[in-house]
Amino acid sequence: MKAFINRFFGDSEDTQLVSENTFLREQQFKQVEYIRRKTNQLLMLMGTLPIRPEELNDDTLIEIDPIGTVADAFAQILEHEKDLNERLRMAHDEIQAILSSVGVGIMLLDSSMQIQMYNQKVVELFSLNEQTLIGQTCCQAVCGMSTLPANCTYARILETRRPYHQSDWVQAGRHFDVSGVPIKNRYGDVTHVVLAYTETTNRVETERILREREQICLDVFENISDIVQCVTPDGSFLFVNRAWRETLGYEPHEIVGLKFWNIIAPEGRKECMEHFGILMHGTRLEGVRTNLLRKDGKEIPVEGQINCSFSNGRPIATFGLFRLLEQEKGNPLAES
Amino acid sequence: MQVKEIDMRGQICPSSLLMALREINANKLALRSGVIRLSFLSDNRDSTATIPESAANMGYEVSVIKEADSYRIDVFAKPDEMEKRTA
Repeated sequence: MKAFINRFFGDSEDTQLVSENTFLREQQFKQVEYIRRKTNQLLMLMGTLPIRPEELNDDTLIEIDPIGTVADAFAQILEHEKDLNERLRMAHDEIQAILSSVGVGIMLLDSSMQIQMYNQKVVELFSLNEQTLIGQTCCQAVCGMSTLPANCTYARILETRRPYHQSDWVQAGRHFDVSGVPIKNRYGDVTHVVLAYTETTNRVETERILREREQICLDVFENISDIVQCVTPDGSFLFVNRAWRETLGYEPHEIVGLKFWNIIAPEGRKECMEHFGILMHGTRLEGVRTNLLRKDGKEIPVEGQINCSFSNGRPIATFGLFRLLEQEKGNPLAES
Repeated sequence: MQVKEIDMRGQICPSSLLMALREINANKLALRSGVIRLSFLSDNRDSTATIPESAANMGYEVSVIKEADSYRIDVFAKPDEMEKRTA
């Protein structure tokens, strides 16, 4: 009976509509909540705050389509990242090409001393195994040690956080110049170190041979009876031999600070300057006669030859070899 | 270069960010080619961080200038990006 009455007055339809409306409201609420949740998730990713309900009501939220807006923004971000990655790849290739083209061995180490990048030259220098090189520590790969060696350039850079250059670093009997530069993050912490190795073994060996030969020459000059002197363009003495010192009466320590014109007799200084001018043009002078001045003021007549050595067109030093003229030979100190 | 000014004063983040993103998206091509510069006026301090950061992530150059009663946030193409697009 009640059902009949309800049907007659339309109550059943109302109830159904109410039920449907409730269902639709719930569905819309769920959809709006979903949009809010997803929008907030994206906004958090963008680095901002979630949307407050009082800020955007449900109708406005659907109208402005925040998910679509943020999705479009993300599309641009991804496009930019792709472009950025392409540039980074090119920069990486350029760096690798630069590393390969230089004649020094280069390694990039991280803050754990592990090798992150290297060039072919460093592989050749230390006969490294490329298969296992990335991730190995520098001291394992280069020094063959599990701990930091003494005079480690990497350790020094980590300690001082400054570039460091170590000349003549010796590894397995070979000599290297090692330069290191730290790479720092925005907080000033060293994140990476670039090490550059130049082998100097040949240069060091050549220098040793040259030093030996120079010493032989000096020994020869030191022991000959002729007067030998080497004078720089500013008149300082680079070298004088024993005969020079004994003839002119100077001790070795007195040579420092002494100038060439201090040992030329006053009347011979003008001619001496003329000789000097000729020497500066590369002409060798022979049969030069002059009077050298002893420390005690006595003049010593000598005869000899002088030439000038040049480097890159600039005079380095004059080299004079003199012998005492007959009256002084054998007894330079006769009247002293 | 055309300047489009968008007055967002009175809005706070994230609404102001969403509005800025909509404008950037809608003017993407003109922005990238350097035809247009978007100039957002905002009195919300948070927007001076969120809008520049988002725009920079999208590959744009951003400048923020403090004015008398608001901030002016300009979004425009990077010079190298403009050269690439016009080449």
